[in-house]
Amino acid sequence: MSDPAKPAPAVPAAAPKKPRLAENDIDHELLKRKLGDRLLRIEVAFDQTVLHVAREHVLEVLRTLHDDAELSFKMFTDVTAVDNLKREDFEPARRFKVVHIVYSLEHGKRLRLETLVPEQDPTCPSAAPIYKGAAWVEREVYDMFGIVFTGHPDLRRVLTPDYYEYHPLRKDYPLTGKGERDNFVRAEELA
Amino acid sequence: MGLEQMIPSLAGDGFFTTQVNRVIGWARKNSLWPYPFGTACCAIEMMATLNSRYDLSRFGAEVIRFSPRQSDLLIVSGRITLKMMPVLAEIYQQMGEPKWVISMGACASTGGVFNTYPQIQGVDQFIPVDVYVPGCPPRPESLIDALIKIQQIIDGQAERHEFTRPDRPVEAGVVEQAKKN
Repeated sequence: MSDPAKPAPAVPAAAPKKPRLAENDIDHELLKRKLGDRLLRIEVAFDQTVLHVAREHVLEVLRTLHDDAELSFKMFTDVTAVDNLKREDFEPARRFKVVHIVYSLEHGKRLRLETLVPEQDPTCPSAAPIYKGAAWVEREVYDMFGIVFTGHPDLRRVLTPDYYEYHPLRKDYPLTGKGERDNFVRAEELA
Repeated sequence: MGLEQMIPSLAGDGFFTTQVNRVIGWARKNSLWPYPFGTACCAIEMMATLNSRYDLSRFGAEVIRFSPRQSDLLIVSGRITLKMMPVLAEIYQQMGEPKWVISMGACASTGGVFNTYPQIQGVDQFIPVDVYVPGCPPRPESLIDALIKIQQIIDGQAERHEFTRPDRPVEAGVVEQAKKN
């Protein structure tokens, strides 16, 4: 296989590993101890710690993360969602994934929570009772994905008009819409 | 007209005869008050056009009005979305006659690169447009050119005694439709 006339190609030096951000360096054992069996799975994705939580435990987990002095995740960065419809291993029970991102100002740590939401019953408990700032971002997730946040103080659409019938970021909604943008009538046609 | 020959005392410097409609047209075209409907990056170019470097006041159109009641030139500069279209139509309706519309840039004229569900694919579908300005965004010179074209339109309308625009009914439909929805 090796040709003595040709020198073996130099093995490229491994790219230097990026130093880990301090905010991602989280004590998993502490999280496991605090959350107990409400934690389905804990993993590190893109160097960030991700907690997988069942839907019925989301509120309790957020409450613990917020209130516990050793965790103290007081800042709510974002809540967003993922539509798994076009995935190869799609199944209706795992249609949506709600992603909460919280940050601990006290300890400088960031955490991601992932919760699966089924297609038939697209609801998720609202984080607004714990984090006031969650109310508006949850409205956006409701508007774009149609996930209903139970216990939300004022769940209305925020980006699309109130009369809109669809949730545009769902993968079964066409990019160019269903004719809403052409649905205004000129005066000449009305008369 | 020959009036100056008939009345010798009128002859001399500082005197000319014309028609009332031409005077009205001349006054209108040199005192356009624009309503800036700026929703995106085209609005930045519009602001540049209005400021001292390009100085739209050279053409008599520097008095920007933020009330449609006081303006006669609607400059639609930027993306118009599903939620914004009824607002734009209402603004257009609230402007008194005579009024003219510039559709500035690719997005206002055609939807531009945004072939997506909320983006109106050209405002001329729902409100009448007099002059389209190509570009993404257009340079200030293009907007000045559009303004000069509007002035030419006004000149033509004055010559033809068009003081209102019966060919352009008020766009009641857009707002009604949005309320129905």
